Amino acid sequence: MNMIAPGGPMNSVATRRRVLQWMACSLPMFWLSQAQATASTPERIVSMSWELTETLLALGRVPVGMSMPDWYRKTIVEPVLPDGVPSTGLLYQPSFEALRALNPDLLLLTPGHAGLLPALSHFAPALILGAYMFDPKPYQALQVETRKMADALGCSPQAEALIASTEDVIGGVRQRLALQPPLMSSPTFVADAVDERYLRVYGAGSLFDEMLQQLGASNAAHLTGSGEGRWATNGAGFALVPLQRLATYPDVNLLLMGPVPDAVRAALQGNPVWQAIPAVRQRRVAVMPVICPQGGLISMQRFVRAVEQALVQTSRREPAFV
Amino acid sequence: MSSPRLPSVYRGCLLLVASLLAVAVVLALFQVRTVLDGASLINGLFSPDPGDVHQVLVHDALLPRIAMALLCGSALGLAGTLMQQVLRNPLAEPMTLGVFPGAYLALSLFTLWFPVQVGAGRELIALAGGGLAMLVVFVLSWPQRLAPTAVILSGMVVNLYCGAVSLAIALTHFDLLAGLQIWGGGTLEQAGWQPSRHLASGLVACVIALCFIRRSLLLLDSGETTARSLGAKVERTRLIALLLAVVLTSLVVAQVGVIAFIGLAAPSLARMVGARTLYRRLLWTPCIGAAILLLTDQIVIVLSTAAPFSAHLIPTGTVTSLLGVPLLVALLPRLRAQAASGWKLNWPSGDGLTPRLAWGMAALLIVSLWLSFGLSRTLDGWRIATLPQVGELLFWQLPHTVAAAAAGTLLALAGTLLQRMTANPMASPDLLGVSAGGALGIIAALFITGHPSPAMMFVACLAGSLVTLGIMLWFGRSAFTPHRLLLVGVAVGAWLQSVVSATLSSGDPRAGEMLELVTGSTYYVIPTLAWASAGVALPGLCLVPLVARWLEAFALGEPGAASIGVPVARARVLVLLFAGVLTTMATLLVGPLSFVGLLAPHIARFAGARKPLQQLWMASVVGTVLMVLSEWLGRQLLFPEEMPAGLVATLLGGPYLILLMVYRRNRRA
Repeated sequence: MNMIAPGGPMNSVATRRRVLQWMACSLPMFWLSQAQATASTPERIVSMSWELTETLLALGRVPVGMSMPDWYRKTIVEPVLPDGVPSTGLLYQPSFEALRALNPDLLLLTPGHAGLLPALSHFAPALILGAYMFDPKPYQALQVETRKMADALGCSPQAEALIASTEDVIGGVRQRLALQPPLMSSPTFVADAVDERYLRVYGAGSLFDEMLQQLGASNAAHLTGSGEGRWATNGAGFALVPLQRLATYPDVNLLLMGPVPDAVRAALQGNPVWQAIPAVRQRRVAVMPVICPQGGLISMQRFVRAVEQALVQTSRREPAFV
Repeated sequence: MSSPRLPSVYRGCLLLVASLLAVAVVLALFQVRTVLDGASLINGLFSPDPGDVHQVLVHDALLPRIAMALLCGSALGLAGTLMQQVLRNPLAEPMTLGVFPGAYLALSLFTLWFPVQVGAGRELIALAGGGLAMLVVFVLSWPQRLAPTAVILSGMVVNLYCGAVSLAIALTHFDLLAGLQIWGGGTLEQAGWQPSRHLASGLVACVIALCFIRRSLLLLDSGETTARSLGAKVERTRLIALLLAVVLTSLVVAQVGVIAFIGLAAPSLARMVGARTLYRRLLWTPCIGAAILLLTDQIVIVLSTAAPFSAHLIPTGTVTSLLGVPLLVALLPRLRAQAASGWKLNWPSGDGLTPRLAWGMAALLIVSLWLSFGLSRTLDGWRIATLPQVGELLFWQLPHTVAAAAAGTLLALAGTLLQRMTANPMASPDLLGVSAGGALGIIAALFITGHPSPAMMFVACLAGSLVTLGIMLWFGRSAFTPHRLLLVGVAVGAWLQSVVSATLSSGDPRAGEMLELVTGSTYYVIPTLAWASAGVALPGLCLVPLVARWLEAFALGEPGAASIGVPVARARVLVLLFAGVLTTMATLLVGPLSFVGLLAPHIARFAGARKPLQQLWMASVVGTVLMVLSEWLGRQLLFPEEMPAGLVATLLGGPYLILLMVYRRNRRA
């Protein structure tokens, strides 16, 4: 399993998740078993991944317990997690006492939990998903995994409806954008402002990159101009770069993923290097809502809608973010 | 007739500084040219056009970075010189005295609670943290009269403790993962001239203050009594000099973070090229420090634009850390050997192992075991488990409790053996370096194979520990000096921390697994490993009486022991090997850090154990209780999130250690 890099100073939400993902991930994967659910559809599901919880909620089921629900509410805002879902502890170190109290029927795990599988199987059968996050073609892999989860839960029609509606949303946005060629004429960067000196730029191998391709927009992290090759990215599809790297791209839009903390925003406004970046000077920066870069299909729907809005905003050169 | 040539010392220093600066300037010019990409150089240097990004980059990113490197290097070189002059310790510098970790930890905590960063407030907080850390170092080494070795060891203890606290913060507040870079994550990336101006004004103020005390500082060279009789106010001078050093360090930490070992390298280089008097050192060390840091930073810039590293981050502070530790090892011989009996075993004499004490220990053990299985928090609050409920979770809890108990026993035995053998109260398996060597072995296995199996990890840990043991024995082959032994351990421990920091900040995907090892979590201990550790601990307990006679003899000192027939050299090697094997097993269970091996012997002594055998057995019970309780607390404190047992033991152990040292001092007085 390819694990994600942390990057340096870490303020952003997405990186916290990354680091949590390695924070206790260690033992070798003995097997990637995908134990089938019991013959009757499982009712009490415990999820140990925020992204998988999103897909679970999108399929219409609510978990009886999950790892750190507050984190889900902060980083994957939709679909909304109902109140009262208890926590089972850290992502890779669930509390066995809590699991015993919850008495689950099915456990949703990621490949990083493979080391705990023998112990966890004392409680319930486990379904291992989430390998799509490190797949070179994550969108396809995400669709496959959504169908797999629905099969295990006995709600395949909902999965098909979800996949179809996502395709519709993407198709709709693509058509509307195609009607406005000026919006699509320049390449776009999608990045996280880690702090006032570094950005995390999403490139080849990330879901954001695939969504941009589906919309027909060009990701500036693929550009070969100015002597830059295609940007090297790590296993999760992003690269941690200093602000200077953006300085050599004169004609790009910059979409900053939310949330941008107030301290970072203030520091950027006082940073002369930031002010000198062409995209900032030409006011082609837009702030996007909080969307998880490895989220499920609902997150990707929100992403494409947000990209459409952001591109309209940047075309108007509004001083939304100086 | 005066010679037209400069005195050789000036030539030496000048040559060194000039050559370092020359290389650095060449690299810097290369960078400037690359970034300018054809734009005007004069404009870039003095008045950049805000519209031309290349000029702005040169003026507001590259040049401030160069200025910051020069300023930080000077400040740190000066701080190192002051510390070495006052403490008469050639290894004293902001990192080894714990000032850097303390300042950085204070800043991290402050930023956690008050995210908006107030300008001058940061320096004050860093100053408070650094000063407090240095104070703790002095308290810990006071019983040994601030002997150089004792100070370095105590500094290491404080460093490890600050590292553990920042790890605990990282585990509970994911926002502050920057705290993991407490061992050198300082980056010199700049945006604008404001921080450099700030640092420059602080540096100038410190230099002016230094001018006032320079004469008294010079007199310290001739010894305390001479200085006092010549009218120098010794205590006041020392205090002011140390305060200035801490202020300089805080200025650097507040602006860029931790950049370790410049304060060690610069004075050493100055001494090597011949600057011996204080004034010459005060003049040349800042220059040398500035040149070293500039060169290092320029090399880091070149490396980070190279293809293999372009998606990652290489903080300059990490590089100085990695390079500084071998320097520390190379300078170890300079530390004068202290007198063999640095620590008189003058505890309040105990009654030995009375039946009451024995029953008390047994009761404590039973209570802690009951807590581990029986009392816990659940989703609805606390509950006492019934037998069936205990049975349900036994498959999970039993190996963990066994592992914690075994680790406690192993560490306590190893700690007692080491303290008795080296006659040093600060000797502990953590500081011995064996556990750090084992952890480095595991990390190497991780990077070489990607996903090592538990058997492979054990072999790698054993190999690492044995290599470290071999190095230590080799260092002491001619004349076995316990203090040299401990110092090598300190260096290995420091190297481990630097490697951990470098891996974390570089962004390598395997960093997560490594972090898991370093935090000392028993969570992933598999039953096989737990039973194996019990299989090592029990025979260890049985073998202990065989060395007890030797340990009693060691208390008489080397000649005394030899005169009653103890084969001293062989005995030392065997005891060291024994302690090493015990520590290796414990490292696999709870990671390289927990203060149990340091505390358990002290607590046993305190409770009344006199003879070595009594102390060993009591210490093992105490160690078991400590680890089992730490494991239990780790599960309950932040339920349902779990804190690693080793981490909890460290956090609780630190303040207790300070109390012990203070109490001992009072009793002696």
